[in-house]
Amino acid sequence: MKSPALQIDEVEYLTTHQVAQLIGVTVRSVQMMVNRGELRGWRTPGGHRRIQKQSLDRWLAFRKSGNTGAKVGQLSTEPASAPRSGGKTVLLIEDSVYFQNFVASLFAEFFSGLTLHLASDGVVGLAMAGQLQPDVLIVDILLPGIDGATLITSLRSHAFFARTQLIVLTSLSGEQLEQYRFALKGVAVVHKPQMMNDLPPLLEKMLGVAPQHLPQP
Amino acid sequence: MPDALSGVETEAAIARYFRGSRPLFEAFRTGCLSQFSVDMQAIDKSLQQADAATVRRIAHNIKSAMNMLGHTALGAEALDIELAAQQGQLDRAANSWRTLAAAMQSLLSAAAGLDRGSTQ
Repeated sequence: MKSPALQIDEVEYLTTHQVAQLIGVTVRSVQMMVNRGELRGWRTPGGHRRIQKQSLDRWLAFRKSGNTGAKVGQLSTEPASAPRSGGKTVLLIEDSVYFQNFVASLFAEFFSGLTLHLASDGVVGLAMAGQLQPDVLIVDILLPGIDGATLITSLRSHAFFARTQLIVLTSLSGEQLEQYRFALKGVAVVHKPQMMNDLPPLLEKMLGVAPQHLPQP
Repeated sequence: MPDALSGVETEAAIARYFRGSRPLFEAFRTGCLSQFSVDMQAIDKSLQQADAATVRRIAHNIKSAMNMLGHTALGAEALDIELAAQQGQLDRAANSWRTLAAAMQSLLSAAAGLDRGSTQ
């Protein structure tokens, strides 16, 4: 017999599967979010995870505010001004929630040792890049605020940016990219639909971190 | 979910864009379905405000998502809106948007129906 429809507003705790369904990430991504402290949870005596609904509400509110550029970094528990740890840091500047979720899923699945930060627009992304000085910056082109190409040009004028490796993530066609070519010389460009094929090897090359459990095509 | 919801190119999309990983595809689709209504409202508002840049950007995002879900016809419709907005042709963008918005609404209704069915 199947269970009745879940009334989310009436529960205090959720399973990892339910949370994954609600926010559009994999179960493993939810597990990683709990491990990173972004969601609060515990294990039942049988070993199953339960996620506190209140912590999910907080996370959703934070993501919503992040989409307006008001707050950022929801994919990491580290504040943007935290001192650099030994781990590698990646900053994603991407306005599309579809691809924010997808990149987060890829990191949770295949690069769980890396810390991924998120900025939802160019202005916030520029500030976060300066604060975090990430090992790798992944930037979209069509962004609210400052477009990706202008952002790259601006970052190149800063000394700290010399140690940051850059990946442009875009769905623009070759013709559409022409007007942004001024900023893309020597930059790795990943076409979004090919992200799962092209991004992991690029990150491996740049960071020396091999992807875990990457399915063979 | 059955293929009826996602169109006939689901399997090809999983193979081409997700390295054959159905869990990643399903997670991506779930995230898209929950974001579509947000983006639909944003395009409606941007068209009312004649904000071509935002219409272009959001249509661009929808296009990419639709193509990766295997909805290539809807992806092409979104591309038309993106290009119309880029060229400042907001009347053309609005016309195409009416078609795409109706299709997206059908997609959301079908998903909601399947979701209810799966829990009964």
